[in-house]
Amino acid sequence: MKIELYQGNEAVAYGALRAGVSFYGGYPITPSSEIAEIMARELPKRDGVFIQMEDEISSLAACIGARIAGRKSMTATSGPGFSLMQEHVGYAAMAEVPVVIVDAMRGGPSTGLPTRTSQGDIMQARWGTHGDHAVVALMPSTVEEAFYLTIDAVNISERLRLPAVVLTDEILSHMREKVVVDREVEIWEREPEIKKGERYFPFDDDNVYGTGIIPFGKGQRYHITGLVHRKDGFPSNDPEVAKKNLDRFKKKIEDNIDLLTDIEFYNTDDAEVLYVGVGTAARAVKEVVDVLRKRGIKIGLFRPKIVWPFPGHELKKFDGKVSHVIVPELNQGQLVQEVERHFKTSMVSRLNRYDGELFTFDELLNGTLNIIKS
Amino acid sequence: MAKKKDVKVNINYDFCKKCEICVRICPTNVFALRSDGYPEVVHEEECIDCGLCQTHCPDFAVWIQHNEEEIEHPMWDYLRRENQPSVWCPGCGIGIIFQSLLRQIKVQGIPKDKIAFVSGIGCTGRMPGYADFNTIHTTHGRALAFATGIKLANPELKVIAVLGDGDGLAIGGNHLIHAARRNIDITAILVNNFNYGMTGGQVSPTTPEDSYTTTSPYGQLEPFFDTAKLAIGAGANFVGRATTYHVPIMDKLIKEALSTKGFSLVEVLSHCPTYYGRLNHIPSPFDMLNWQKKMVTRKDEEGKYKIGVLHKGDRVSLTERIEELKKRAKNGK
Ligand SMILES: Cc1ncc(C[n+]2csc(CCOP(=O)(O)OP(=O)(O)O)c2C)c(N)n1
Ligand SMILES: [Mg+2]
Repeated sequence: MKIELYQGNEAVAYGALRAGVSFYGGYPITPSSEIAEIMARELPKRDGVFIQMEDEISSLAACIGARIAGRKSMTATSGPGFSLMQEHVGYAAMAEVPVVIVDAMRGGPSTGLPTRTSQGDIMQARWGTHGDHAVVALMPSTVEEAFYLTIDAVNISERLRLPAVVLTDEILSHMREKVVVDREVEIWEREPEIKKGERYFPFDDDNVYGTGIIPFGKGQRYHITGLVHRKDGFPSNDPEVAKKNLDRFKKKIEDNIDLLTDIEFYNTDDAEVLYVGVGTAARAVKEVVDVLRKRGIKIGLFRPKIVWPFPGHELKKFDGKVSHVIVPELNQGQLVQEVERHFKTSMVSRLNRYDGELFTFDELLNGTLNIIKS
Repeated sequence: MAKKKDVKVNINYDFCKKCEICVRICPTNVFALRSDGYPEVVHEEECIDCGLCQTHCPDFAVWIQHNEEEIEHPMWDYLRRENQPSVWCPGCGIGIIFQSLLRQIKVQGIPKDKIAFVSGIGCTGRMPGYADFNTIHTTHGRALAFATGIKLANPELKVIAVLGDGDGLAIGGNHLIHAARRNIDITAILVNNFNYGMTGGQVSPTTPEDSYTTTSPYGQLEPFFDTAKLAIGAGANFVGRATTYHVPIMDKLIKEALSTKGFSLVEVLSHCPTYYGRLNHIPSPFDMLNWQKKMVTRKDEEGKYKIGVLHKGDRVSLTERIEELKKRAKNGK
């Protein structure tokens, strides 16, 4: 067993390298900058390419370009940069180009609290760009998870040809924990094979997931656009084509929901009270669960590691089985809006902190007791 | 009467958009206008094979045939013909620039598989969709940012980007500056039609002072960008300027740009008859070509656009430097 003591940002960077990322384009921003620094140092040694672009718009553009030219690509940023990237999140979704974006969340809006933590970008990760689109977002809560979920993000984005977002936060980015780095992982690598004389349709329904993508320069001279397009990549205004185009994004997620469901169930079997928590906010929740269990309260934690698509199909099984659902978040209440949709009888409550600090144990404990008593 | 040259003049009526450029540009009146607005070859024997009709046809519809093989337009194999006719208005200058680019790619024998052809959004941005290369139509202003990623990821690819004037100088101006500064191996062709064609003729960073656009109805107040100076100042290795009238100069510049190591930029002053021309009282494509003749100079003249080669540098390209860095990094230096 090989163990490293990694900072969260290191775990993300080394996870990406392990997953085969060989291109990084980015623009520095706290609290993500160490990821860029590590990539700048490590990539050239491994035949990879690092470039510091002139802003985040061009960073994600360069990553998409690099992926089309054959390299797995990643960028990392924080809220202000993630906002700038949004047009290209939509482009990657529309053009079905795999790419990974790490958003180390900090207090917002705007420049906000650069050195403090937050979970204020949960909704931006889902709906930051305009239009209906497919996107996946993963949320680690430990440094080791940051390592492995970054690998998952690369694999998923490659496999489904969509942008994948890793949502970390200032605390996770900068804390150090041990990481077992040699767990077995599958690295997804595939390229469609086109028989001689056959034409490649890069946007054919059969070709958009599970087949990979043929990069530029390999003899398939196809077209990519952010416009609604036919299976050959050329733009079209035909309503039927438009609908088909968008339906596929939806189907990509629906057809692969098993691949996209990753949940930690912590003491949920007999739970009467259920936390739904993600990322670093869920860390202290576990401690509270342990303590309340000792006091005889049947409480558990439902923790999606993939937040988008939100695993409503799993969560709604708790409707009626638990009396209370509590959603602790480091924002004014974003995930809770998604959680509420899945409960008809159980009561959903929120616990929020948005001053740049993590929940304290006491705060969670007392907040929980107040909710249960009422 | 004996033929002046033993050639055949062809018109592809499937591609022709009745812009009349061929009819009016021919010095020997080979063409006449039919009552339905299409050109017709009426005096083939007068053809002196000057090529003007062919190079100035924005739609690859007219060509001069010299032998039995040339039964199709010389650029036929480089076009995605199923996508013709293009979205461009009749007589638009973009097609003339497109043809010049394809011609130089053909002359240089660059394999089609090795070309990555990148654009942003705008009328100009539609060019890659018509070319039989690896093509990508990106977002407004960001062609060079995508192109940078493509080139860095696979230096074997010949990366060509086309930019509109709004695309390359307003929303994407920063990327132009930085691509030039990095001196990355990309050839950029900036189609300067003095306005925003795609969105209906709004003012652009290159709109001449006092001229009219839909968002400068009282005349443009702001001075315009000198694209070439900007690129030279930022560090490009090759910079030139031509117009859609001066096709031989454009050909030469694009050829040089394509063989330059590092960043090369060719600005082509283009005519947009539909918006810029109409709003400034030069509505016909052919008259706009003539108007361009008057706007430019080969020397340094105040108030005119200088055309020709404007700069040649010999800075090492980023692509070369990265390859060298990889060697150093592997040796731990
Ligand atoms: C982010 C963004 N803003 C605005 C637009 C709308 N838009 C499309 S093309 C264009 C301007 C085109 O002008 P130019 O770049 O000069 O190209 P031309 O059409 O003249 O070739 C604009 C503003 C857009 N597509 N994206
Ligand atoms: Mg323009």
